[in-house]
Amino acid sequence: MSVRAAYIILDIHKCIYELIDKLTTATSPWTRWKAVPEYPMEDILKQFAKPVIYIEKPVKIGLIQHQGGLPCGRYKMKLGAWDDRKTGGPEEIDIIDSAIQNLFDNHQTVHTTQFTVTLDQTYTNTTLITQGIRIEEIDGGREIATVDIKEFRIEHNLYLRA
Amino acid sequence: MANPNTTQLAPPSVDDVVLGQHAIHEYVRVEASALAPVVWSNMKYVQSINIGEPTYDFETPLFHMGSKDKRVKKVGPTWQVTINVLNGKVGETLAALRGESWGSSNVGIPLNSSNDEPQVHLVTIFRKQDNTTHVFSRVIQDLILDDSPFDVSMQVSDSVINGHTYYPPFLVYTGYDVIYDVWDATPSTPTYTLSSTPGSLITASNYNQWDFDNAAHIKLKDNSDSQTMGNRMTTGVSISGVTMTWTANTPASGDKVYCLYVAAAA
Repeated sequence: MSVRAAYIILDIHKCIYELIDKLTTATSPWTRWKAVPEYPMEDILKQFAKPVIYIEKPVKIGLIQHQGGLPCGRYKMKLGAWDDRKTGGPEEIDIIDSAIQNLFDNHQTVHTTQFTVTLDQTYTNTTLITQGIRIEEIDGGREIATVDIKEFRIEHNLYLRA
Repeated sequence: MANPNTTQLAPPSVDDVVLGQHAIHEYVRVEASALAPVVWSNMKYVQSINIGEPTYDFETPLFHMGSKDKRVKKVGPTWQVTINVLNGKVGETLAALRGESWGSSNVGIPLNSSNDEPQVHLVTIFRKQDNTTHVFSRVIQDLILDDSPFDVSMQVSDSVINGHTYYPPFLVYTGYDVIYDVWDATPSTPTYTLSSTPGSLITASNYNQWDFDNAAHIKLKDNSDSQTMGNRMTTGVSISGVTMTWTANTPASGDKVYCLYVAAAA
């Protein structure tokens, strides 16, 4: 009942995406935003009325090893947010930035928040703890330049073990 | 001008180094229940097992004949050993090496050690990058576990389990397994059958603390003397083929016999 070694990139990505997607459907202020499972192309972005939180695929950055056996991986994932509503100010992107950091800084909450994900089978109301993912830390949001100065983007790096 | 040596050596091959990542460590309890052979257990979570060069110190305890509290005065080499494991697994590793259960019958495990008798034999099997092909092995025999610290840092870290041994570590050639046979003595029977045919280990006469060419040690725990651990034999016993023959101190009722040796891997 955990992320699979042979599908590790896919499974980690699905779990983190489904976690955030669940929040955007159920929990304020997340319900003001839309989760998308990859970096959105502009034509896709325009389809959404809400600011998007995009979850990029994890990249392996290290191993926790023991002599004689298989290692456990450490991964980095980009979580970004993009507000293209041109409302005039960065307040909403700052709220998204804060919510993302608050979620992943709180190790009790992030590891026990329930979501549903399909890996080898569908796991209903599962958690990151159950799926074998351990959040290590999230860094602060970096501003990303946009073509239109009325749009706002930030990106975080999320570090985890699986 | 003449050049004394114009040889240019070929580069080392990809297998000329061994990495800890591809080594696997095994242990057996010195006082294992009688079995020939005793089954080795794999050690998990190991970051490194290190043994340094020996120091030569006095050991101060004295030997009391006929007493249960047997303490031995030794003059001779002591090898310090450190076992580094992922810090989340120190308790489990200590319990395994001490032969205790942690979490079932007892939920505590002291970091200090109150047992100055050998607890385990360790074998490190070095392999190629495939985690399969044997390169060579290292044997640490008669390891005594010592007091150990426990630090916790903010980063992924390991913790050390300390130990020492009074007996030399040794390397074992490619394709040879380390075998540990233990018997409950069959009274008045001078022969015991080893579970494998011992390989020729070393020329014992060339080395201190070695008494047999085809065994690391042969021990006898004398029940009539209330011994709590096996004592190494230097004479009175020999091995030929798979047969161990006692010509003196033939094991008696309640005694235990131990033999650590190597044999061609099956």
